[in-house]
Amino acid sequence: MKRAALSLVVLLVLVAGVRAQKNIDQILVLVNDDPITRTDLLWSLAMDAKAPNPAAAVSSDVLRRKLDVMIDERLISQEASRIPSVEVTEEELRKKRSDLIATFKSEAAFRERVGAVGLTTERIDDLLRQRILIDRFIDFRFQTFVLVTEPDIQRYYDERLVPQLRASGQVPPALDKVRDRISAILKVEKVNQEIDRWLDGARQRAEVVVLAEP
Amino acid sequence: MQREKKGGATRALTIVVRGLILVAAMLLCSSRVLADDIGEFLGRRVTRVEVLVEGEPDTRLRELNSILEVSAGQDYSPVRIHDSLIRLYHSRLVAAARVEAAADGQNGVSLKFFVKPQARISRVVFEGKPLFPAAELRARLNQLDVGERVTAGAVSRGLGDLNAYYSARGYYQAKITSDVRLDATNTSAVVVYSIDTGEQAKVSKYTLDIKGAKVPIPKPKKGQTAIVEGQPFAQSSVQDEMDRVRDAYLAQNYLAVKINGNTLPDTNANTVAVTISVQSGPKTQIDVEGIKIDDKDKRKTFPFYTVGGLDEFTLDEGARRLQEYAQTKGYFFATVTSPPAPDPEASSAKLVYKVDAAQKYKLSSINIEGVNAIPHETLEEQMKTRQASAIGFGSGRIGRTSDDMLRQDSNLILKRLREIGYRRAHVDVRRAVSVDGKRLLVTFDVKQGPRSYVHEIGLRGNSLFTSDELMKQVAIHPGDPMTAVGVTKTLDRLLFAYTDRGYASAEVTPTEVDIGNADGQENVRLIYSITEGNRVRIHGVITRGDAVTSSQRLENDFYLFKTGDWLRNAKLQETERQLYDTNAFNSVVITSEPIGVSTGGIEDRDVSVNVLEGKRRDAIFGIGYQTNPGNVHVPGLQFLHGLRGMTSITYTNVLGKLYSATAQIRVAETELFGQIAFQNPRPFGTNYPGLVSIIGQRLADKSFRSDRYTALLQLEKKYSNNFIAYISYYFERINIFDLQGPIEEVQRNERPIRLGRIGPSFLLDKRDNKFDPSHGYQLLGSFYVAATALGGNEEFVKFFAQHDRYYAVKRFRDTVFSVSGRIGLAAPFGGKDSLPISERFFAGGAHDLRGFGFEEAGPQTTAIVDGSPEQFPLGGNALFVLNNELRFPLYKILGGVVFSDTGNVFRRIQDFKIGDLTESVGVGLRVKTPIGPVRLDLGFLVWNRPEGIRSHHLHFTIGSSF
Repeated sequence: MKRAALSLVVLLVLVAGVRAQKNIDQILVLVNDDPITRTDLLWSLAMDAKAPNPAAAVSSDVLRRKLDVMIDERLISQEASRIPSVEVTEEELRKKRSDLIATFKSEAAFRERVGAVGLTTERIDDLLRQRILIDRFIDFRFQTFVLVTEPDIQRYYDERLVPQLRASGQVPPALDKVRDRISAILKVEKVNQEIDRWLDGARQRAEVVVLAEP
Repeated sequence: MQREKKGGATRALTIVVRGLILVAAMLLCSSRVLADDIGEFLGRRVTRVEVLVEGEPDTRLRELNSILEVSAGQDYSPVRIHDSLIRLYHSRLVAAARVEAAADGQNGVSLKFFVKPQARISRVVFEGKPLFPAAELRARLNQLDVGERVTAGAVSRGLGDLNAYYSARGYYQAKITSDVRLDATNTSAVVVYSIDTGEQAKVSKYTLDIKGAKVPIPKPKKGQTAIVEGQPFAQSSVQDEMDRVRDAYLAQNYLAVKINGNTLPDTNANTVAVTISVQSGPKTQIDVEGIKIDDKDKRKTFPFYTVGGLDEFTLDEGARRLQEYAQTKGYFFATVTSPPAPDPEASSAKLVYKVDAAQKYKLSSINIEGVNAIPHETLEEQMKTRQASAIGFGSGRIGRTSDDMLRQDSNLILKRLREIGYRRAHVDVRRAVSVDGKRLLVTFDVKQGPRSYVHEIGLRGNSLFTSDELMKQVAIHPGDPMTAVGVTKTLDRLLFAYTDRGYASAEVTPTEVDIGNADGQENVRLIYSITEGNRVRIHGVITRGDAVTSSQRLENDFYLFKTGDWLRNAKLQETERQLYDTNAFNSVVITSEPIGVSTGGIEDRDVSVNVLEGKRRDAIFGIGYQTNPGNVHVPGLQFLHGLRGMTSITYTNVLGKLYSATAQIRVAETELFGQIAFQNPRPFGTNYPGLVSIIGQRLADKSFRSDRYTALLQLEKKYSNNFIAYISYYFERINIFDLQGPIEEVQRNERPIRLGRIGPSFLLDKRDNKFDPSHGYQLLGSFYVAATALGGNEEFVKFFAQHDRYYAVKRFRDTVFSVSGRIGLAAPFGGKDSLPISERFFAGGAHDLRGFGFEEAGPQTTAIVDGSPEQFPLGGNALFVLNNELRFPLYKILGGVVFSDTGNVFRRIQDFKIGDLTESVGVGLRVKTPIGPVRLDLGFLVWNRPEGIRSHHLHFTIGSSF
């Protein structure tokens, strides 16, 4: 009993101490010597409308998954920085910003969410610039070289679309009517496959050092 | 019951307490990544910022505060805090960091940055049984150099590299583990690899899988390894085996052979099965039609004879080289058609290169038109294209050119013109045939264009020095032609101004800005952009690769820098040069590596001295031959009949202190010589290399024999790469025997001679090549005083100087005119009127006056030998020799010379008379061989021939005159 009480006292002191002194930022991971901090993670969550609001409690699993995504983004960003690229224009930035805000309920909701994690307008623009450079790299590195052939489209139509629609009791449209749509879907699929393949290699080559759990 | 109640209450309380503990623990462990954590402090003002370092802080970590972007008094900003963390990490002083905040009063917030110091590698050690030298293993590791940051990745990669290294050598069962041992401050770490190599795998099976023809594979040459079943396996032996198999097939003309090696390790059995697959391809005969080419030249010309492979690319490359070959033989307009690639499945193939050789021409004229800025002879001397020569043999008679040579020559002309400011120069090449259709005329049509002049010189980026100070270093001035030498010299001087003050990372970049034409000349603004960088201080000096050498010896006596000094690149380069001079190292590379952040414009760097120690023992053998018409010999050595030999063994880096010890023996019919020497390159830490030597010499001169025992002490001072001065003290004992001469000479020399002599000597060598010079000069001189006060029983002064000059004769390739003058003067003092005969000057023979036999010049005496009178030289106190020689190539390794030798030996200095000089003229042949030149000279004594001396002498020598 005495031992349990003593343990309680120690723990309460610890809890009190921890609560008074808050860990507000920390280097979590090094990706090829490039640090990702806990604040980076929060900012990434804050700017992702589909992700949980960092102002509320976020599970460890979500944080780990988000951190994995950030590591992949960092790998792509490092590769992108090796390729010469023209500066991001104000026009591109404006468009990216408005596209991002459009994913939220309102601009006020967006401002409130990013403001809660201390993101300034300038830092948001910096992060958006990085995203534009990543998009450009993906476009240059993967999309340019992806080709969707007629047999690919035919196979998708025959083996995936038609059986799917028939199974749901619908009449499949003629191939010509859906050709462009299938082509776009296949292109996205192929780009994603290429990115995944590239990321597998990049992860193997990279030096990722985890310094702390999120 | 009471007890039960009490027990029940206690249990209940225990359950409550345990519940509270659980809640408290959950509070501690729950995910605390909430925006609240950072958002809670938004709007507050930072009241205090601290950096707390884990472990015992290194002094450098005091600087960390200056790296932060956040400070007291600012508004709380997650962005600034985040950026501070990133900056801390990028300072390379920090391995990990976090930030904690606490409310401070109503509106304040205090911040604490907790940092883990970045450990750096102080050493990499290999424990256990590594088998291989540590230096060899260290060379396999990347990012694990001393001073590098310790990272788990680098240590783990090192593990992989070591595993790969041992596997390649057949140690598949090697067990290697790594450990990082940190010091108390957590800033310095020893990386330890513990190695247990296990047994080396053995070759379980070796299969030579041949598809196609089989050829005999020769046995391994010396130094090559072989794959033998049951013997230890190493990857290098597979490569050796593949090379040997390939060479065997190529030698049998299977030129399309393909070889692959495959190894299949069985780690359980610790064995390796090796398979080398051979696809022989067809036996290929390469024929050339349209031009004669012998087998030797064919093998030199076509690349596939040495590397194999008969694809379209190598066949086309062969055609290009064959065309070059045809052009160098005078078929300047030859065209070549290459054959198609052979069928790889065929057993044999015949490939025919067809050459349309057209007319054979003699390159009778090379004209360079439009160039007046550079003498044409200067350009022609450097050009590959050669005009036909009347005295040449082989290709020398028809001249030499090809498309490739003409292209290179055009580029050469352009380069030379641009170097002196003709930046717009342009060269076209024209080839024409003479009216008689037999001669080729090559014209380099050059448009020099306007010359560029420096209009103005500007400096940018300088703040440490004023522009006026830097302008004093400028070697090119407004109004000067824009020359590459001037631009580069200025750049070097500006850079030196910075690096000499420790700005080791300073950069200077010249830029030329055209500012238009005026009066037919281009004007250029020359701007030197300077990036001054930080002043660099040496944080530490690390020596690597010093397996035998004492690093303390290096640091104390050789390094021209030390910890705490400003880093000066010139000192690093000079140290490199001086370490090379010790002959103890095959490679010396000195670099500097940044170790962290710079503060106050001062950057700390570690200097790494990476040495690769050379062989510590070096043996040299030499052999030669020289005619000995005088029949002079040391007793017991007459069996050599003119043969000469030498051997020397040198130990460098004795005791790891860079001392060297040498033992040398020379044997010839006329000389037996032995020497042991010990050299300390830094006696007492001074840069005056010292030599202690003991020498024994038995010498047969024409008129006497002598035994000489010498103890020598010498100090050396190297003023530059070309100029060395010495001060030497000799203590010698000399015995003269069998002296042929008048009685007074015999009496003069019958007593053993003891010499104590001291004096300076020097060597200034500016020849382009020590063994076969074509330009430059060499000057050497010595002066000695021999005195009783120095321990001897003879007193005299002696001076000797020699000057050799070499001039390349323009318009005649490889033709060199050399002139060599020697003067020797000696005078006795202290009551004697002559020098001991062993110390006098002698001349005559293959190396000075070639109209004479060995030592026949100068004062002579006649003695009756075997009943007939014979002349014997007595030497003299004065010597004068002047050699003029024209050397020219004849055919390949054969060269010719014509020469004239003027000079004589005089009994006393005052006996010297111009009219008494002798004159020899002659011709000779030279053959360059791997053991040194073979010389055959026929000299005719045409002026002042003494009575009793033959009018001509033939001299034959093999090897250098060591």
